Amino acid sequence: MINVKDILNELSLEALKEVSRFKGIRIRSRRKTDYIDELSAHEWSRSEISTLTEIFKKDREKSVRSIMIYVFKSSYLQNTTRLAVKSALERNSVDFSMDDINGFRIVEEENNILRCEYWYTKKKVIIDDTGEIHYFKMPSQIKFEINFLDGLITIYATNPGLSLKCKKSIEETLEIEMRPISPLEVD
Amino acid sequence: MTNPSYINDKLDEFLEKFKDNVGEIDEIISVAIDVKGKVRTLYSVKYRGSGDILSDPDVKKYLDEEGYIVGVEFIGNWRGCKFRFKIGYSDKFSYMRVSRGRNSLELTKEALYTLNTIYLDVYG
Repeated sequence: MINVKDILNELSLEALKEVSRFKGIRIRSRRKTDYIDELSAHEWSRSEISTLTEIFKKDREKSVRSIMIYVFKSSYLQNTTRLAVKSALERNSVDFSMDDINGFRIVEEENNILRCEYWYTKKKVIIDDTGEIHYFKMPSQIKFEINFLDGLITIYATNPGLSLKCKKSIEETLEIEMRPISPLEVD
Repeated sequence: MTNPSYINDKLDEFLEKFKDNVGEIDEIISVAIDVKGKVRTLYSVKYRGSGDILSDPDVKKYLDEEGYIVGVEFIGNWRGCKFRFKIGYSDKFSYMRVSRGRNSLELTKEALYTLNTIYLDVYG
């Protein structure tokens, strides 16, 4: 059985807006979760699901055409040892034998930079050329770098949701607060 | 709340630095303006121009209401190729994005790292 919510979860905000337009549902929000909750609460006919899969495919093509960096700062990194950070990440290292994975892997260390990966289990929706929907549960990774000299944490993620997921996990593991680098004051 | 004029000065500085260190900016295609906690897009402020967004009357109207620019997207030239660059920030995250178009992934990555360097130089 096709779970529309799974497909909606995979879409960008722009694609969700397109879906709400074709469904004729007016949603006044900028949050993906509001679109997903509202749209998934409605009935979906076979032809509507077919249109949804077309939007999904176009959205996927668009998303691979851009790459993104999210930048954060933490003063804690300048006041701690590299060893303490590495130990914390290693204590929470990824265990690939688990069904649901959630953990870190240190990839490389170079001068003041620690290159790492955050691994998690992703439920992936694949729509093949015939329009058939397949579900996979698979390990996925988000790369990030810690620069001890500047206290910078750079996350390479394809969307804001994933960057925040990775950020939250780093914050919990290292018991630190990461702040976005911007001209805005954050309380 | 951060002074909007400070935020716009920083954006000016960023765009100038991009022109000096990377290349010409062909067109500024979108902008997000936060007015008292509500983000408005280019379309909702009816901005139709290109180039100097900070002096556009429609954008200026919102900036005068203590709004501030939270993101800008533009077509920039890098190593003889055109890329779509975007920077944006909020109280939760700050990001940079480069769209590839028909350019190679390697060149796009290099363009993104360059954008990151300029961003950190201005905002870091």
